[in-house]
Amino acid sequence: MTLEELILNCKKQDLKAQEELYKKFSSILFSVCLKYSRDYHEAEDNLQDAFITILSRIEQFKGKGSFEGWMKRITVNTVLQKYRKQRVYNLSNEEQIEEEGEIEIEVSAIPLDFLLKIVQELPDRYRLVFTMYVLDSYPHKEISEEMGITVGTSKSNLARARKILRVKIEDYREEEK
Amino acid sequence: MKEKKNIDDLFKEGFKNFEASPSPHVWENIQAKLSAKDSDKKVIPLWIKWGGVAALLALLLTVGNAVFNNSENNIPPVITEENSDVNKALVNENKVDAIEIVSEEKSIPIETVDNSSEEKGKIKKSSDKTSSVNEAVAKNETIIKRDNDIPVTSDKKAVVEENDTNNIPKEVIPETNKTETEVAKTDESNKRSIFDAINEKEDEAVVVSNNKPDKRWDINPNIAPVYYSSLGEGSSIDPTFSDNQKSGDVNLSYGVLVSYNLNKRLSVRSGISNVNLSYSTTGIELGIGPVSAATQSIEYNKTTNVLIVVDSGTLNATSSDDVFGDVTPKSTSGEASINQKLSYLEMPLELKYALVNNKIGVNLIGGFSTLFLNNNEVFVEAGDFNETLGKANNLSSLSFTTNIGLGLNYSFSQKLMINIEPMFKYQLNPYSDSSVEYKPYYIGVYSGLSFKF
Repeated sequence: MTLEELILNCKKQDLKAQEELYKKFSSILFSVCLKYSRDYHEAEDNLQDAFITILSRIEQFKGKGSFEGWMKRITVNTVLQKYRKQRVYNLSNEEQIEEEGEIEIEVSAIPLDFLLKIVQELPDRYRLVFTMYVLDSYPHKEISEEMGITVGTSKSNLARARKILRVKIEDYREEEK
Repeated sequence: MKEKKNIDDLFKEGFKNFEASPSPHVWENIQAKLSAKDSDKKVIPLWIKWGGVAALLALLLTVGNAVFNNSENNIPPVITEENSDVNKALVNENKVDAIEIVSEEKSIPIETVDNSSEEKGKIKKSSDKTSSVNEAVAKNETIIKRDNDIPVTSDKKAVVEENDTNNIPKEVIPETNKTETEVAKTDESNKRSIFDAINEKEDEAVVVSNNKPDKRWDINPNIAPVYYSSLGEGSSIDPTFSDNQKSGDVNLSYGVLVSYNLNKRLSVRSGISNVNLSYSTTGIELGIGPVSAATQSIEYNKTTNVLIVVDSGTLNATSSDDVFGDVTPKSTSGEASINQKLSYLEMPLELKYALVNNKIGVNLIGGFSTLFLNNNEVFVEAGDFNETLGKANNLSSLSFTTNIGLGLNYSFSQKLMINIEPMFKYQLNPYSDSSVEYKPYYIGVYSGLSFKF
């Protein structure tokens, strides 16, 4: 079955096609969920919600652009929406936080597990901004629109995220020594 | 290997080919949810089916009843039987004479064939007459008298004529005269039996008309205050308002019902009405911010600086970490509330059964309605402040209710009746989003006048 046929059958709510689609893309989408979620367990929950959304909205995919990109987009939106639902508002002006320059660190082999862990440990919004900007290359403008924050806030959130990550990597290296 | 590296690149490289397999139970959960969704979807077709069955049943009853009733109006089967009985009785009592007459006719030569056939025709005619005039006792009496006279006199005539042409012995003439007088005598006994028969017949007729409504149709313009509320906790606007204080409002429904009386007790009705419903949620506070931070179920017209409604206390819980959105609180005078206002076009299909059916009537009503979403609006109120946020995007444009109620009525005349009907209507699928825990129903006290025709 080609991808087109698979999509067509999924539009017909064919359960076998749906399962095949899941098998084909679950690991890619799960990696997205892992990067954006707080932990493994929540990532699984988010994958589940995202995939159900994908299947229920598959009618809306008209074949324009990449299907994988479309699915990733839905997955990211699902996660964003989830953490957006847990609405706690910050009323302080975050834009005042100074932008730090690029942070350089010494690199030796750092296991991916560890990198993932420290990303997941970031506060929700820092994690979302960091992942969107650094790992998935969203521009600040788009991030600010998606998250309902200003570009300034997005930038300062990113700076804070980097700072936290650098400290954690340095600590890790200290322990390794 | 040691080199200074930008932290972004470190992560970019690390996650470049990152893939991870979720545990198999994720798919199992997805499957379970998919099949649950499927069964959710089946709710609507099932109700459409039921509705179809109900409508078909109503139609069959209506048509069947109309057909049955038409034949009843022309010649009620019970009554024709009665008539034949009457005729039989008449024949039996006239037996002796008839036999005499027949024997006489037999003695009459060939030409009488015409006569007897003529006589048959007459007898048939007379029996037709009796059946068509079965309700008029007095008329019947005279007709039957005449009926009995006519064949006899014609017999006489025939006999006389035949006498001329066929030379029948003279004794025949006095004999036929005798039968005439005998028939006249038996008239006395006939009368009684006809009276009895007619009395019986009238009794029967009364029984038949008892089950037949006086008027088939009635039209009932009505108006009702309707109260909207929910059986479940939850909010149709946002799950965060689930535990907030909600209060249903009383609005107006108005429309017209047309009912067809299947019989004296049972009627089927349909119609169209406009229903306005609304409820308000309190325990909220307001802020101004981007649309992405606002309630997902509301379709705002603009994207920035929209009025954002949140659960009380949320805006003040300032935290430097778990933060989301820049929302400036908006101070309000008085308690703020978020309100949802809906307007539906309602088309009911209901059966009404009369428990008591006198000048005062008591009825049970059951059925369902189809609701077409007409208008919907979410707005905020606080003291003098009032602003429309937008439309709710989670409402079904087509939904159904199940209806149950009690009808009380008082008849002023055969044609005019006043009704009061408290009705309970439960919405089956008000939201397109099945996760909404708000289970709305509405109660209306429908009052109106019924015009029968």
